Amino acid sequence: MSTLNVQSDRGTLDHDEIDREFSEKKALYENTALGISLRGQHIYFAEVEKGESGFYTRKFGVIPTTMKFGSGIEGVEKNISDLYSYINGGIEDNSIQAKRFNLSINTQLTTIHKTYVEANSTEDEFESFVKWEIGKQILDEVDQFIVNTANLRSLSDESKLDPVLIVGIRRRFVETLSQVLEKVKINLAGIDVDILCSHAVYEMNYDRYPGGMTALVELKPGATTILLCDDYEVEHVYQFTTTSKSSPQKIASLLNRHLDNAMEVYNQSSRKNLTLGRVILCNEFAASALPFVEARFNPSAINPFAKIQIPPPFASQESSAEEGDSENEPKEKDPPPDYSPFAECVGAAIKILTA
Amino acid sequence: MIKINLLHNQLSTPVARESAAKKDEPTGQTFRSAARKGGARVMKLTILFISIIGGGIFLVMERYTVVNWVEQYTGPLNILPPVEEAPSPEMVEEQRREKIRQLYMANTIRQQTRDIQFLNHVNTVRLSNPAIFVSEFTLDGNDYAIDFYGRTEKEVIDFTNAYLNSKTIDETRPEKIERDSRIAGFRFKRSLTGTLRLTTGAETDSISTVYIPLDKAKKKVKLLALSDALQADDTGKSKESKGVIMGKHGVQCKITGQMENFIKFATTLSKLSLNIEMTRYEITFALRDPRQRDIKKMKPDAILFDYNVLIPTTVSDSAATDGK
Repeated sequence: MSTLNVQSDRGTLDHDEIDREFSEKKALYENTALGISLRGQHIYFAEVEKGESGFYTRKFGVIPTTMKFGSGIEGVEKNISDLYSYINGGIEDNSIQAKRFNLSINTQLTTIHKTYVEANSTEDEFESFVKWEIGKQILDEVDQFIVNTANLRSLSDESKLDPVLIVGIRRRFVETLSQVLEKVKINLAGIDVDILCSHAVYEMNYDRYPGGMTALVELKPGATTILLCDDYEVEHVYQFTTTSKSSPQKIASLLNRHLDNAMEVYNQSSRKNLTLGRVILCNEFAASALPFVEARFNPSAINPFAKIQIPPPFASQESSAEEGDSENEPKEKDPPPDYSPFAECVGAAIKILTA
Repeated sequence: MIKINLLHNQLSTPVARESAAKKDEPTGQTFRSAARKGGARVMKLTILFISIIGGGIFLVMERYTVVNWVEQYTGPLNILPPVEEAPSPEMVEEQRREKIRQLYMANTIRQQTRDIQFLNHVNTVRLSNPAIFVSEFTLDGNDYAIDFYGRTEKEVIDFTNAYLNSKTIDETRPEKIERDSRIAGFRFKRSLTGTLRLTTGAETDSISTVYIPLDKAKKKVKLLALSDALQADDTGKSKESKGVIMGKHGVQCKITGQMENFIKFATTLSKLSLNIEMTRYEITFALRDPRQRDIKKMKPDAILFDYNVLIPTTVSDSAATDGK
């Protein structure tokens, strides 16, 4: 008859090792996150680690799929039933160590709206106001939507109205995605919106611009969203629609007109007279539409890795491209790599690490 | 950095923002889910809707009860059509019994009509042969008997032939002519017995009978007789039988008066369709003086008249009897 010798078992365990492993895992869980963005027919992912010196991108990449994201398939389970297997495959192939991930979805699937709320309103008043306000933006019942609000910078300390950003998404999308992504090996910690993830990247990678306001433009076919930011604060939300087959050039030409209009609307509503200092393009057509955006807007495609470190192979490639400028011999100049498609997934990871 | 998480409803009030700004912490504050509140509202509306529908169905189903209750306070409203309920087994049984009673009464009326016609015929034959004195005539159901006297045998034979030639009856059995001196002036007597034909007519015929109680029936007979110049008195003989469908109260009364008036009386009584079944007639004709022309001074005929008053037996009566 065998008996369990507890004392001897205890003696073989290395408690220091266990504690160390546990603390490592805890640190890994707390300081590492995976950001995923669904766009077009691709899954963009980035694993970001939060260190003492800032954020560091451990892994990032693209997973091609057969699905067309942003077209509403996110609300039908059978259409995205394979999504978890793509993500699991990406996690295994890239040795992702993060234990949680944040999903950034197409802004077109959400309603995003800025409004003002009485500063001293109670919770009930605020809730009823938000429901009423978003009820004007959607055609269905408010109960079918999940609504988030974020407080924006107030106009002044004495203002009786506080600006609030209201973001709503159809409940069906969230429930379907949650259901499918339950099978992913790591936890779904949150669902965010592309333009707000880009805003997080902008906040982390770009300095304040004294020359005027910054327009963060989510440029893609279907709907284009412009966030007018004063420094990092979102001051105005502007959207215009295009056809789903619009070319980058067409959308850029529309953007040229809408940027002026957006500034005019903002200045009229805020009774300010600010100018647009720069335009940062992000999302699908950021790079391809950049040549067609008028130079007076000081356009650029968003670079999520301007301040966030990236893995060495990519870093050396980027530095070699920069060093080419100092060479005396005429040499064919390599275009700088376009990392703008990764802005949303990097932003999603950053947002979960700063939550 | 704008922090949202669309996995849940997350609303940040301005108050939360102000307090959070000082702490430099995320301002998101999750509180009551709008969806839950919305769900609760939908639930309340659903319950209200179901209650209204259920109440409506209840009111429709119990409309007669509700209207009756309201009518206690408002008086008759007449807003609902009469109740058309499915007949109960008792009512079905009652209808079946009534149908049987009506068939029975229809047959009775046919038989009475036949009897009255036969009475009329006998009376006519009797009056058309003044040489013959018909002393008695009895009709009990289908059987009848006639006793008559003649001064000569030939007169008796002639009357018999005249009677038989009328072909009213189905079967007649003339008895032998006997010598009889009980009636002054008449030396020969003969009896005729026979059976009347069964009544013809559809068995499915029915007649709606006016049911009156026994006392009222007796009174009705007396009044009718009086109206036809007849005197009706109960002899006191009565018999009673109870059946499943109906009970019979047999009554015998003695009617005095002219035969012609009795025929009128019987005809009227039959046409009234009362629950009276005439069963037996025993008529003793008075020997009249041919010279007497004053009807009032003529000797009256005496008629023993038997009839049944039919009293329906209802289902409740049967149940009470069974209970006993």
